[in-house]
Amino acid sequence: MKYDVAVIGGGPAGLAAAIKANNEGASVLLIEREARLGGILKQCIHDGFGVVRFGQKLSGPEYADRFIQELRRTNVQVSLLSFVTRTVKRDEGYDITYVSAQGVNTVHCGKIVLATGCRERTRNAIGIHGDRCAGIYTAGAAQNLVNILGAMPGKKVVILGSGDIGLIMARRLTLEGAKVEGVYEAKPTPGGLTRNIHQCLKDFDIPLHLSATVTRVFGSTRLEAVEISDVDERMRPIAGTQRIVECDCLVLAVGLIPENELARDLGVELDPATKGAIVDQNCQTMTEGIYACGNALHVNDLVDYVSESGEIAGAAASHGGKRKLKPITPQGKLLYVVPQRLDVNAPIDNVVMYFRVSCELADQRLTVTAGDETVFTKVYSKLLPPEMERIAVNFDKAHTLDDFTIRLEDK
Amino acid sequence: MNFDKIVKRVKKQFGTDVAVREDERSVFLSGECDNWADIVAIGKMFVTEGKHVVNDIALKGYLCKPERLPQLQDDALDGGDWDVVIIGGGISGCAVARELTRYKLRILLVEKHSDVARGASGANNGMVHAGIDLKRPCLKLKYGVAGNAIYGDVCRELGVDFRRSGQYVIFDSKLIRFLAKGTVKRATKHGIPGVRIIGKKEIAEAEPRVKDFAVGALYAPSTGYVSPYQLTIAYAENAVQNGATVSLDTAVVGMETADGKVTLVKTNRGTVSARCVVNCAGVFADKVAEMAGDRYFSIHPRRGTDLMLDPKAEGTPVQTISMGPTLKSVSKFGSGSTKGGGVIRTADGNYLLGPDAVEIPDREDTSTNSQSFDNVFGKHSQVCPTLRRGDVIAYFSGVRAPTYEEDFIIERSAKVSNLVHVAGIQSPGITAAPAFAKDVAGIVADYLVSVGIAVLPNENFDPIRPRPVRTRELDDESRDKLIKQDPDFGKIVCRCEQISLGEIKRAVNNPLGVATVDGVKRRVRAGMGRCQGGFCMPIVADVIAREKGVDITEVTKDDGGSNIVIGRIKEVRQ
Repeated sequence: MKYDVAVIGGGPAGLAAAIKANNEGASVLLIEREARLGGILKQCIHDGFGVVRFGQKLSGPEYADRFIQELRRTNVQVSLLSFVTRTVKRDEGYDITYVSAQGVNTVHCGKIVLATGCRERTRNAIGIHGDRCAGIYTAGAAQNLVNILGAMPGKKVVILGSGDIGLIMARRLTLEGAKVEGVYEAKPTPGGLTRNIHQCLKDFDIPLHLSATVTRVFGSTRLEAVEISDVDERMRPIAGTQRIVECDCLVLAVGLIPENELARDLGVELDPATKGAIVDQNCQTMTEGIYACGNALHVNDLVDYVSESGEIAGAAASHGGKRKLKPITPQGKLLYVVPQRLDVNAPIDNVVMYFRVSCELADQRLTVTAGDETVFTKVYSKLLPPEMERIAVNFDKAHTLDDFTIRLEDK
Repeated sequence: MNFDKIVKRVKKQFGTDVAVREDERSVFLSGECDNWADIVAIGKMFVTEGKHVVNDIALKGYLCKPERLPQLQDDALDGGDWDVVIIGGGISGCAVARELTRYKLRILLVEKHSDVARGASGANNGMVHAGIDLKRPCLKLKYGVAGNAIYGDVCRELGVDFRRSGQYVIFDSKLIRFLAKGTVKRATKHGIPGVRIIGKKEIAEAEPRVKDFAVGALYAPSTGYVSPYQLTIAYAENAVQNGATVSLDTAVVGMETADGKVTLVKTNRGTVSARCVVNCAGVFADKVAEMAGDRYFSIHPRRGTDLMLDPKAEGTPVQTISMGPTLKSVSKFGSGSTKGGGVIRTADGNYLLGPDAVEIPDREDTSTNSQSFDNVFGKHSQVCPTLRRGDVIAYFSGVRAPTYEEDFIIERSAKVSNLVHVAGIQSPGITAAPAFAKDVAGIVADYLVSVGIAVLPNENFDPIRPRPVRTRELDDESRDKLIKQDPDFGKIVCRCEQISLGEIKRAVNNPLGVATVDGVKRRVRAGMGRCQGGFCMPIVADVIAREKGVDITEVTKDDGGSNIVIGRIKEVRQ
């Protein structure tokens, strides 16, 4: 079989990319490894999805369903329970081999859109030591147990990490009758959105302990207790601050990393700051014909932006032409900026850019320049690490299409 | 022998008063000391040719944690009558069980955990040693060299991956490289094949990561790599295939003896009688000996920590490499410093860094700590400076079971005639087990014959244990064919290691009846990749529940009590 575009991953990014590519006239294959479309949204039964896009607070499955319904009205071919095992570059396009319950299948496609989402950091990635007992789960695994399998991972819970999933799980487990002893965060500021701090912790009287982390776990069969230590500004445990908190479950919400196994296999150049691919404004990677979007590209705060980047990638993958790439150089206090390149051969009148900062900042000015011309500027009274910022920049007015920078500095 | 001098030296060095008593087999020490490392050091000072050390020096103020025992209490085994009862389901016990099934005997293996390979056999780096570090003839050397030689055959029979890709001990000085000639000579004398010194050019070609500082290396081509727990599982499964019984969650809690023989073995699942008992109890081997009234050696637990690296990390080497002695440590050359440790490419293609060696009082303390992590990374990453701490995706500890003499004890007891000890099995235990298991089976058979029990060959013995299917290794055509036969082999559950539902179902329905999340992980690697089970653990738990017809609340991670979940939602009350 031959397709113009193969989208790998049927979560919010992949759904949006497949629909958009189809609507732009491409023949599309959507490959999803699970039995149902929707990705991680399937287990996100809380609300708050779609505020930007639909002006409504939907649950994860509801948000996904809007796209799934739309997908049904397209000609997109969907292959479920399908796992890509190999991608091979051909003279024109790529061969993709995947396994499914039907067997091993190889298809040819012109372009590939990687919408493979992200994965969670684990206990080992953050150096928790101690016993090897049951009861220690990543937030995503705990969420799967509760929301999909209807089972409780514990009844006296400690949550490490104040990222959004950690906060959501604190509320979810409380609603199911568990006692959440506290949410611990090694950083001095919360990792999740402010609205979640209020709606998930404050409303339920769940304490949030900043600059503190779990340093050891105890338990012969199931978890019995954890050791908490305060940490210094470099997040190293401070001796003498250890205390023991009894619990039967530790939920880890200690960060997400873009899933880029396939990107690596394809030799796609990655950005060490985002851990996702380096892309231009059309989400095309530095490897011709390979696009990346959603959380595989960089970890987003809102699903609405995940869908947006999926649409950008899907639209671009169904067209595409010869590129002329120029770097966009981040300067100042930016953690990262996406896209990292600008294709000056493609439309540049509405370039969507996302950025994050690494620490809380007040009274900042963001400036985007081309040569020595300023093409965009915006003042922020407050910038928070958990909140991704989005801007749309018109580069059309610039006289020189080179030396692009994006700079964040004190106002 | 007169130990006064040593007693005085101990007093001077450690400030400890040691009382010494000896009999024909052992030197018994007693006293009190406030430092565990000192107690072990003192024990070693009393090692003399031809005698074992039983070290009863107590650690002041130390409250030994009670031994972990299965929660299960039933009488499933009660009244059983066995020709051989093997205590312990590590590599030793499982290999001995399998070798004994060559005879027509009633064999029971008891293991207190819910799976085999739960002790040191499941928590080591899987190196099949060449034996280059052993200086003098001893059982470790005898069985290590013999075991290494037959490893390929054994693994082929048992369907376990084995890769003989050698090891390189890297030298950064020409003097050391010159001195290593002595090691080559010794290795040759000990019958270790192919050991040689290679020069700067050859090592740089074999392992580009060391080219900046290596002036040469000691190359031991016979060193190999195996998954130690998969081999242990394979031995146990083959034993079961050939008629042995493996009873898990079964701890020996006592014994009865009469006329210098063990008559009854008491467990939490009932009391059984045995013609012959084989002690393969690892870190508890001395305790089991004591139960039989035959305590003549001590096990001092020694913990080792290994770090597992992301196989896709960029700085990993091609070969197994370790740093040889440096000029500073030259006097210690050959004293064990060149053994095992280093950056190890495992049989699964992963990389392990380690191990270290820490004497600890608690035999079951397999917890990890940041100190060991730092030591292991600091020491073993020297040979491969491109490795980064962030490349570590997992770490684990195992507890070795050495005696003070630091050699294996493989013999029938001099005092309890139907008790065979397979004790003090530590590195290179994984290497040696295939060889000594054959000898142990011989010792048992000879004993049974000597007391008038007919030991006939088992005509149905089948040495082949089929290798489990691994779909990711198949070419497209074979994979497609398999999926057409059973669509479950096309449904990938563990995305990191690419393990299909079909493989997981087979692992759940294994011959030992182990239906735990970690049991599946040990058998097919589901959950062993970079996400460490974050995605697939709930699915594996669900598959176990469905396959076994139980509720997910009953599914455990490992031993009884390690339930994955504590109940259903809507049922918890604070």
